Amino acid sequence: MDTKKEAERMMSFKGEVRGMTLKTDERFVLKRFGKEGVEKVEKRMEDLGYTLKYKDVSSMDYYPLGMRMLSLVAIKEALGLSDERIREMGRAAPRASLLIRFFMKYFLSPQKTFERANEIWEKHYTVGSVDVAEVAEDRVVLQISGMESHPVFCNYLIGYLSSLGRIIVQKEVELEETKCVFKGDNLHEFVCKWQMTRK
Amino acid sequence: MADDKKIKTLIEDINLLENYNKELFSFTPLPLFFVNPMGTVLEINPAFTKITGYDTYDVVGEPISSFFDEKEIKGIIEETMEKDSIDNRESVIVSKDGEKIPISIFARNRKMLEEESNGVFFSFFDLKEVKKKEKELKEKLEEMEKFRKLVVGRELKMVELKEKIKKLKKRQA
Repeated sequence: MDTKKEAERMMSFKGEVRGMTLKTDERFVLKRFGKEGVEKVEKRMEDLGYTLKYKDVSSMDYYPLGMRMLSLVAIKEALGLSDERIREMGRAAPRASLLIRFFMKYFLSPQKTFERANEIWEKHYTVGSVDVAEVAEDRVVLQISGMESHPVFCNYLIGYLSSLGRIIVQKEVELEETKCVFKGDNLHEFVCKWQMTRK
Repeated sequence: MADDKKIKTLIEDINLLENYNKELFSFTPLPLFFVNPMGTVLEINPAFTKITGYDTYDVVGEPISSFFDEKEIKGIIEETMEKDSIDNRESVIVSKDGEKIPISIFARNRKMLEEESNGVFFSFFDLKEVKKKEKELKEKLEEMEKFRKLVVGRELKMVELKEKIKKLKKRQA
């Protein structure tokens, strides 16, 4: 991201996000790049005109949605992460997130869990929603709409949802973004597929 | 109190509680982990990582059978959910580097709203040192037994010889 203008645009996004998402970002950076990595990201945020000290973030509090997008962009830029590394970051997130603990009661069956996808979303974001467009024995189609974001968030979500899907169905899953607002669609659509026989 | 102020206070309280739980969970030297009824690991503490080598990214979301015998651990989960708790059950956990660690398991059922179980809390003692000492003790006992047999055998031989000498002396006399 070249200019502060783009950062300003993101900071004008409507809605808020729970601090736990920022904490999960911090945890990934700490694990892979150490304290130095976190400092680099915080410095990049500052260069873009916004201060974010991850250690001061409280998991339960709400932060501007733009801050969440900016955090991802700053991580990508400050640490030189490829799209695949951003997906890796997304894959790691559900394993380190408070979400798992909060929603463990729903992890009784894949069906029950997918049915509650929007509840999980609402615990994190005050804008947007997740609709389960289709749920079958070997696939689920999720649609996310009603919120502004950044392309880096799509890659993050691909990783995040594939990891969450794997945890839920306890099988290897394939995840593809079939619709994207940055490609002219009016929502993001993710198709998550898995084999019927356990690997 | 205004609603905004109440919400702010509640969030502060939740954060305090969260930090307290986190610190307590991290402080305990006993390995702890939590699985849901499907046997998926949902949480581990640093002591678990220290003993097994697995960190959060390795095991959270994975089936518990990744590091336990599947049949045995499934049985333990079912029994815990039925009886509410299990104490001192010996088992074996496989560490990240493949080492089989003998352990003693303690498990507690976690219920939501006093009804449906939503998982099982586990804790365990590492029995590696205990088993090592047990083995050493057993070997020592075996050694002592051998020695005892040798000494007793020698003593019996002495008694036998003394008897022979006695008889010979009698004959000569």
